[in-house]
Amino acid sequence: MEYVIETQGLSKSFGSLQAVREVSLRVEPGETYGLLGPNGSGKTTLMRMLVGLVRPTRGTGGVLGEEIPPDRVLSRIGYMTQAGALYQELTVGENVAFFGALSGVTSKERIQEVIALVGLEDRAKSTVGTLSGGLKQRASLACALVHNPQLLILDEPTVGVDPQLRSIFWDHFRKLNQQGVTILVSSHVMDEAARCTRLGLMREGSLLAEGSPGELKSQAGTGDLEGAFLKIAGGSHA
Amino acid sequence: MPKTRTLTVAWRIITQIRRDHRTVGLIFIVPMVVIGLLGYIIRLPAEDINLAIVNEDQGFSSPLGMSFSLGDELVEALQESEDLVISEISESEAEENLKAGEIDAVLVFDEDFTQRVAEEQRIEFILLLEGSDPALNTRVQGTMSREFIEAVQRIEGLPGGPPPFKLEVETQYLYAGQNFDTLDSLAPVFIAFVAFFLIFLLTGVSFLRERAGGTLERLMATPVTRLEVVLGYMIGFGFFALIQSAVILLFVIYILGIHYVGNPALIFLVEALLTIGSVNLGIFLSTYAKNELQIVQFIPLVITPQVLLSGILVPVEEFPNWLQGLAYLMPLTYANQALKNVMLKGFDLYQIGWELAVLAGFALLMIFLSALTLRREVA
Ligand SMILES: Nc1ncnc2c1ncn2[C@@H]1O[C@H](COP(=O)(O)OP(=O)(O)O)[C@@H](O)[C@H]1O
Ligand SMILES: [Mg+2]
Repeated sequence: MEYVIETQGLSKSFGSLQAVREVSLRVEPGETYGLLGPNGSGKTTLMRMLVGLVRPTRGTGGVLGEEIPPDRVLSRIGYMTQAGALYQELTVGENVAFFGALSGVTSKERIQEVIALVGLEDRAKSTVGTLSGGLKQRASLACALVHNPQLLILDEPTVGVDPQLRSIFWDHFRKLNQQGVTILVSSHVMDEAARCTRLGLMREGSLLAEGSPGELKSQAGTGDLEGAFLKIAGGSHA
Repeated sequence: MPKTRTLTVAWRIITQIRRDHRTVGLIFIVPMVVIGLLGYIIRLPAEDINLAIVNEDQGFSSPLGMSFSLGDELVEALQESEDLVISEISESEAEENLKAGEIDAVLVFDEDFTQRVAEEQRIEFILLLEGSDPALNTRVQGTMSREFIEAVQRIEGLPGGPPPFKLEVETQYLYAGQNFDTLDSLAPVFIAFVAFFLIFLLTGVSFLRERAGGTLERLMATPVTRLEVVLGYMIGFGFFALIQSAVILLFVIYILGIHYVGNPALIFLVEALLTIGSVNLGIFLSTYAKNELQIVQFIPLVITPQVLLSGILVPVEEFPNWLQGLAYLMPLTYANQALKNVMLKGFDLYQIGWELAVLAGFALLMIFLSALTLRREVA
């Protein structure tokens, strides 16, 4: 079986700080893999290594069959950063068209389609700077989706998003999953974790445990994920 | 949306700037206002100079009994000048009036003035200035030497006939004419300076925002390469720099009426090379800035030495050797030289070849440095 993401002992140090320690991760096609952990546990750094933005200090990894940094398969990856990261002076449509063009998608229909997918049809001509946080987040998702990526790497895509929109986002992820898109998503919100097919619990840079939400709960002997996380991670996380 | 990634990046820069009306104003309107104002001040009609003449010249008597006083003749000839108000006073009054500020300068013809001129075939005169106002000094000296030359030429045609000895003043202007003013030589360097300065500032800030806003990270997670980003930036900002040069050029030629004999294509070539250097300098230095203020803090480091040393204020040739050495390290020095030579003297491509080569070298070095700092490792 070909894994979409496979890493062996992947580590990253910033000076004396070990941001990611010996992470060995396998993500299968069509999974929604959730990286769960408190702030500073290394989720962002791990994802940035996978898209080639940060060079690992140690270890190896492959994404879509390409050794990291995965320069040659970047057009098949959709990456959404924590910060949203859009051009504030451009409209929603222009932002989507821009990131689409960089990944080789110039079809106007596709751009309209993906804007409609995130429910921004009537704001397509609005300048991003004038949008609310939630709408910006939707536009940002559209930019990550525009080129029909096979793998989505989403770093806390629902941070600062209200519960209703969060639920809409997860419905999208489910749909994409069914179309065969693999998703690696990070979160520190437990109710999102329940919607992943598999979870990896991170703490202080290490991947402590892996499994489906059900497996983790039974492994910890608790009724909810929050409890399972506390028990496995040692109880003192923020 | 353009077909290539490089042009996509360029398109984005152009769209962003186009939306930002203040920046558009900064690029196109501000330079015209500045050079317009500068031109106005430079060309303000100067006030008349109050010149007092102390004429003690005893004249010259030839063995045949002909007498001639060059001092008298010159006083008469200078009276005709439009820029001078002449009064004749005694030597004792002269110093007093000069100190009191009632007169700007005193011209002294001493007793054997004519005698000496006849013997040495050379005119030397004494000009006394109060001296505390350098601008006035320069203006008086300039006006006096011009008026004096004209006065001497006028003597030839006086009813008393030509003086009994040869008085010839010859001035030749190699390029353009004598009504060439400071603005003519300032306009070319102004174009270079404005493009370099503004484009550096805009790229620096743009790139800083790209870093700080996280879009650079996102950009690097797409198939776009470092070189494509750098090229896109160059095309995007180069587009504005060239339009800006065209606007300033048209303004100084048609509105301010400066002397201009050059080939505009060469001006744009110099401008394009300079802009490429300045865009990449902006990208390179933005790596070392954490916010917009820190970009501004680079101005004293990057821009000020170039303004002082590139020949905008004082021609490079007048510097001492060690300072000339420094001046020739600055790209703006070469751009200024090339643009002056093209606009004022009509130099062709080969005649400014050396300057172009240096500017191209600077541009390449900056591209290399900016691509180097723009590593995949963004954080
Ligand atoms: N570029 C960097 N330089 C130095 N330290 C960093 C850098 N990026 C992340 N870190 C540190 O690495 C640790 C993990 O951070 P991060 O991966 O952002 O965690 P998370 O995304 O789980 O909140 C944190 O302590 C953070 O301060
Ligand atoms: Mg993070």
